[in-house]
Amino acid sequence: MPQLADVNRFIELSRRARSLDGLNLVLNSITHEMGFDYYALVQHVDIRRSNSQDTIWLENYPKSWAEAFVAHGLYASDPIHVASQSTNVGFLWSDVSNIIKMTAHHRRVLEQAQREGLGDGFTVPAHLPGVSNGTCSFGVRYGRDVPEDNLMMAQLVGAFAFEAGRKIAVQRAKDDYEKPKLTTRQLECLTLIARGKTDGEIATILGVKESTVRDYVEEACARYDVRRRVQLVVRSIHDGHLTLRDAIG
Amino acid sequence: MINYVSSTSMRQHESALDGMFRDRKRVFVDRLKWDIPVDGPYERDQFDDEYAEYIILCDPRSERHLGSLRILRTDRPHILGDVFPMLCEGEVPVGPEIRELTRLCLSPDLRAADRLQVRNRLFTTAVEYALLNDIQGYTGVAAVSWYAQLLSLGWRCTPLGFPLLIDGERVAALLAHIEHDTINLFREAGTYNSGDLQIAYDLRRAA
Repeated sequence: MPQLADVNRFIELSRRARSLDGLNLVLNSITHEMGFDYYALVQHVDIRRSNSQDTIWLENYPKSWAEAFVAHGLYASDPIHVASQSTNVGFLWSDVSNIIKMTAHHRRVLEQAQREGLGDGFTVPAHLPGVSNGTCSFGVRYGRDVPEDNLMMAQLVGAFAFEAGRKIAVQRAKDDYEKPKLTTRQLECLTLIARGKTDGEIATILGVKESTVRDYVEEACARYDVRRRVQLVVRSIHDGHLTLRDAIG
Repeated sequence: MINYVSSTSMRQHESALDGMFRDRKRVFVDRLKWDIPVDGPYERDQFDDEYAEYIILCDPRSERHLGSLRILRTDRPHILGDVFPMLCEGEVPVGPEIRELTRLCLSPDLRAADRLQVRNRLFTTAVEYALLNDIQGYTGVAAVSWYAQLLSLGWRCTPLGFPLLIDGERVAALLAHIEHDTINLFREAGTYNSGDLQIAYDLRRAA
């Protein structure tokens, strides 16, 4: 019988997982509690902050299958993956032909998975338009039946696992973010800009040419990849190069 | 422009309410084909009574309805307690400190990027409303296809039961906890939106 208490325990533990290893452990344990053998949490997260993409790939699939999957690029022709793009609710792999038109190639991929020991399963798609998309799947060894009674439990666990994975990806991107370095001269210019000084005034205060001030500021903008000075000031305060007190003067 | 509307302030918000009830019909009846009562051009049901409260976001210039949420008391008739109690495995969470969020409606005229903004603004306002009114949680009934979006807001959620198939759709009940750190969880998730929309509109006007 599916137990809501087990789902809630999973939610608490997955929320507390700060690393993918931690999430791997809790996913592994709930997978077996639900009567499945395998799980795979695959998701692509757009990290707006750094304009990069992070991919999360957690699974305990039969090793040879997982390797073939990556090495031969089976991902794109995996019917389960294809079907997951066109629905937002969990589905049984054995029902996949109700969702997409199966080609001979699709069938070959499924047969190959079975040869490697992967039987039926249940996939929970999770898509956030423009932010992230992915799936959380639970499978059984070939020859075993999926635990029909626990599919709705898997539906909930899948949704919460996806959110836990997304949080870790976003945090990881924040940790990876490296503050652009600014020189002392650039910081002096920035502080004075924040206090409302013109380039001419800054040049007088620092005892340099106005064009030199412009060069410092342009270089700092380039390091931050911003075009306007106001962006530069705000970003450098955010990163702690300047304090608000510096800016107020 | 965000409007809080309750029975005592309905008069001042007639046009916001009119836009909301019209869009609710366009979304829930015309598009999603929900089998719910219709009142002329409006979608309005038995829970839209003098105890219902609304968070309505309108375009500050045209006053056009952009999106809205309905807040129901749980110590009175409400959707989870009176229509779908079977979605709760245990007792339906009710009481003065629990409200129910229903009828999240985004105007069908919004573009995708704006939909996200409007959604975030409505839920941020719902959290602020809860913190100001000592509300500790919101219950809600949602299709599981919506779960990724609801959870991605960042708040701590607890499922109240397993999904059931209702009118061909898999739906489940959820409790979203409102706690001292909920605003921060929204910030971390990038969904905190307390004033951005207003600024965006002002900029557009200035341009």
